[in-house]
Amino acid sequence: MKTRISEKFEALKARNRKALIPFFMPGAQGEQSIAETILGLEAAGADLIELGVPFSDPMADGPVIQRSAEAALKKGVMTDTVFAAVKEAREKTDIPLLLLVYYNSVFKYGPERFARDCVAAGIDGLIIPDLPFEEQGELTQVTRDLPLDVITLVARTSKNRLKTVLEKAEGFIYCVSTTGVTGERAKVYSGLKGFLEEIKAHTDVPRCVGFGISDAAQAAEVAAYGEGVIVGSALVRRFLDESAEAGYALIREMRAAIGE
Amino acid sequence: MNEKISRKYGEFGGQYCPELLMNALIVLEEAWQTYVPTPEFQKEYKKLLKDYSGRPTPLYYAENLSKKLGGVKLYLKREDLNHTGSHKINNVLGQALLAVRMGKTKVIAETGAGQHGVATATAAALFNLECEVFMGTEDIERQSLNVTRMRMLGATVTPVASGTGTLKDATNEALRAWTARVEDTFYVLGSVVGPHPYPALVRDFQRIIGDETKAQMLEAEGKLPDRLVACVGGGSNAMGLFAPFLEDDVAMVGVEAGGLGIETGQHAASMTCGSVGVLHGMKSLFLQDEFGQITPVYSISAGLDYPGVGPQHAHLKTSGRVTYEAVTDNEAVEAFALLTRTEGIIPAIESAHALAWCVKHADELKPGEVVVVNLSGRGDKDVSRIAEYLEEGK
Repeated sequence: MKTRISEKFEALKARNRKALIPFFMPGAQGEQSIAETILGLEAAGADLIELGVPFSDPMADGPVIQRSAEAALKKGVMTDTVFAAVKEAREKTDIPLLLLVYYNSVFKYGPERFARDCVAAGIDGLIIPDLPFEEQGELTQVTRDLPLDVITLVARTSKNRLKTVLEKAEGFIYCVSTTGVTGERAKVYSGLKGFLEEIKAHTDVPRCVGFGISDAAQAAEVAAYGEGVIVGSALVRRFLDESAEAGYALIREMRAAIGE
Repeated sequence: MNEKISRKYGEFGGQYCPELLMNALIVLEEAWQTYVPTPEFQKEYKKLLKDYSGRPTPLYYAENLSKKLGGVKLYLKREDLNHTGSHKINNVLGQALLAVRMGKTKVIAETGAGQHGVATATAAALFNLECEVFMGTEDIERQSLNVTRMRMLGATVTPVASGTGTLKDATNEALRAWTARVEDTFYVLGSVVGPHPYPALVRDFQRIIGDETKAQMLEAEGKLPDRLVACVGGGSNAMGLFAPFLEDDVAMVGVEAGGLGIETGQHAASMTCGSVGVLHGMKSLFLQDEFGQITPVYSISAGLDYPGVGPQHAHLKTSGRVTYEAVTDNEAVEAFALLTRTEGIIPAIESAHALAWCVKHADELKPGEVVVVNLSGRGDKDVSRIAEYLEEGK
């Protein structure tokens, strides 16, 4: 079913604007509430927003996001907390919202109940880093009839899997630009342009690049090749160690660098 | 891909991994199917097991202990006599040979008690591979002998402080490292856990334990054993022993770590108390809360201190083929002391859990029942800690 995500990308395409997609961990977002942070990021220039669901064992995450998950769990942030905060924010904004969630949080909650509660709260998509194409059936048989996109992740190492995994892609493609876990990197992957072109050959779904994007200059470089940029650790670190304002400032800089 | 190899055991197993690793898992499965069945590979593997590791390991009739326990006839499968001191080397030699065939020059591994880490560091020395072992900070402290051994063998031991600083966290970190280095690095996984094909790959390299036991038992008793008993953390020594007997009329018991007692919540009994979940690339049974957060586990034994279990074990439990029960730290330490004094064999504290089950249930076993306990490792690594434990208990 059509979601706010695909509507947003159509609108962005018409304006020739690249998507800026910040990620933050509810419970580790600095001094403001989770709902206020969603609105704050939108005001700073975000087009879509990803929220984490803290997990005890985040296998795909580097030290910064691990630390944010620990902090959130210590504060008692659970799946229900995130749903409630999204519901609150939904009263004030139509910005597409996605959850970045490890599969155990979905599975243990019950895939069907999880998907329905997402839709009820106003969540538009799920990014599940440990749920590859081969294991998605259990969830997609439920989401098929709901306005909830299950985002496809592709990596440089996907190689001849690309065609298969992209076949059912919806919302946008999450292009993992580095090897390894989430976290800031000094440089953008030199083969990024070619990697994104290879994806384009298989699908018209918008391509957004994440993992390793640290600053405005890198965001601009990456945005030039695809349809969107995802920024996680660099923002989470500012929220954790500096302030909400320091995080928003990063998003404003990135917005300016990739263009209005 | 060979369709005969199942990715799942009932509802358990699968490949719940980042996309970054999926291709590597497919390549691993293909390499396994291509190289391992060949006569050349088998010849080299069997030669290493024999000449390097000292296989076949004895099946020893523990007469003194049997007498102590009353009616049972207790045999010990002496995996502790393997080179490096545990069954872990069986799997590691196989995976190292595969890594070399695949042209990999670097290996990584996770370790709990350090037995798998030592085995991997040993094979890396033998095959001239660069080796990094991830180990929880808590385990580094309680298994320092093995840390020293790994370092002497030339491996880098990387401490993992996240979470509880134990095997679960070391496994997280090894998987993270693999996503970064997947192009030139072989991940030598140490148990029948993780994403497919690892649970099957590790089981097949460990089934030599059960194959030998079967032949040795037929020679010693002229029949199959009545019961097999093995400790279960991730479950590799148990799976290796059980695998060739699954279709036979043989009772099987997997013994997990009951820590301070099931009722205290301080344990690692994922079969007794866990629920279905997804972690470390597999759907299996895990100790977790209602939101799927993995709960901290506890055991005196670093090798059993893991909140999950291999997917085939989860299936063998739910299908009823194998019984799984927990024994406590205390019971394991008592069995450790008992074996040491009656037979002059110092077992690993992990293996002592399996023995403890026999001691605990000795009265219920039929007179003359033939029981095989997998003595999966030797206890040198544990002696100082157990001496302290016994001292504290006085």
